[in-house]
Amino acid sequence: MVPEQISGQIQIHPTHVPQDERDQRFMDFLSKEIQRYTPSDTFLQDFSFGFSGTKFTMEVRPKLPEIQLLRSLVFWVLGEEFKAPETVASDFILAFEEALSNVVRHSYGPEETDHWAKVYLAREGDTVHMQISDRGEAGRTSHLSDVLETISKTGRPPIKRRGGLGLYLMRRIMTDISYTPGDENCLRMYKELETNS
Amino acid sequence: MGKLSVNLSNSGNIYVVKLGGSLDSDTADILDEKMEEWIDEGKRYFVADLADLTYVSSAGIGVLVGVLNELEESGGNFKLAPLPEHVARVLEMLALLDLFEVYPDTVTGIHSYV
Repeated sequence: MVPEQISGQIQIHPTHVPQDERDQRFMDFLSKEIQRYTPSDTFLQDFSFGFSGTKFTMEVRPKLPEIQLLRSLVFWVLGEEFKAPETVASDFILAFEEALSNVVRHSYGPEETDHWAKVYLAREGDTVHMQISDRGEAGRTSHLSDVLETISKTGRPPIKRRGGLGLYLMRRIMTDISYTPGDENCLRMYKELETNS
Repeated sequence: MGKLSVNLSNSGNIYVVKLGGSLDSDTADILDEKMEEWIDEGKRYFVADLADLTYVSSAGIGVLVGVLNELEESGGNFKLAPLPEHVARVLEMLALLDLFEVYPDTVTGIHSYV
């Protein structure tokens, strides 16, 4: 179903009805950002989100050009809803970009078009958690656990012209990070807000 | 919305690359390809004006480092002038800030080649 414009807002999903003011605030912000970043025609059809207490999830099928829009949404949730300091939110955006671009670039093969990803954010006290899941072939990214372990042991970034720095950056930003391949590959990370260094 | 702008100007054989917007996993290739083209044309001395960069990710940093390495191998350089604090922070987190010569503005960066 093609999303329709309703009173200046964009209906995010054919069946999505704002559950509360927070849902509405998010949808209002999303509408503005869609005008700003002009994602693909299928973006809204594949996008869904939900809030539950201090938890937020969204499911997307992102293309690389849409990551900028998704960054903006995550930044908004962290700042407006989770009340994370701006520097913390900015750090999370860096990690989010790295993780999601890895999904788009590496988790799915070139012949695959369904780049499904689920983003989960939660604030628990002074800790913010982020989890990014995908259903790509685990073998494409199973080496990530080894790379993370090597980074933790050596404390150094893998220097290449392209690639390799993203995981190191995530490791530097987050208090901890882990990767579990499986039916849903899962990259989990968290940051303690009191130690923003 | 425009994602990344890359504009080139020069002062003699010193080239100022002015970047604007977001240098990330989607747009890093744009800069990479432009720099390859200019290096292939024989350009060697660059000053990167990053004042209008709104965001940089590791993909963007990877291109900056790669370009620097390639230019240094052929006697050139890729200096940063100016370097906004948010970009410096990412470079610092990646332990790569010391690789670059940094100047407060493009004029100073250009004069550093003299």
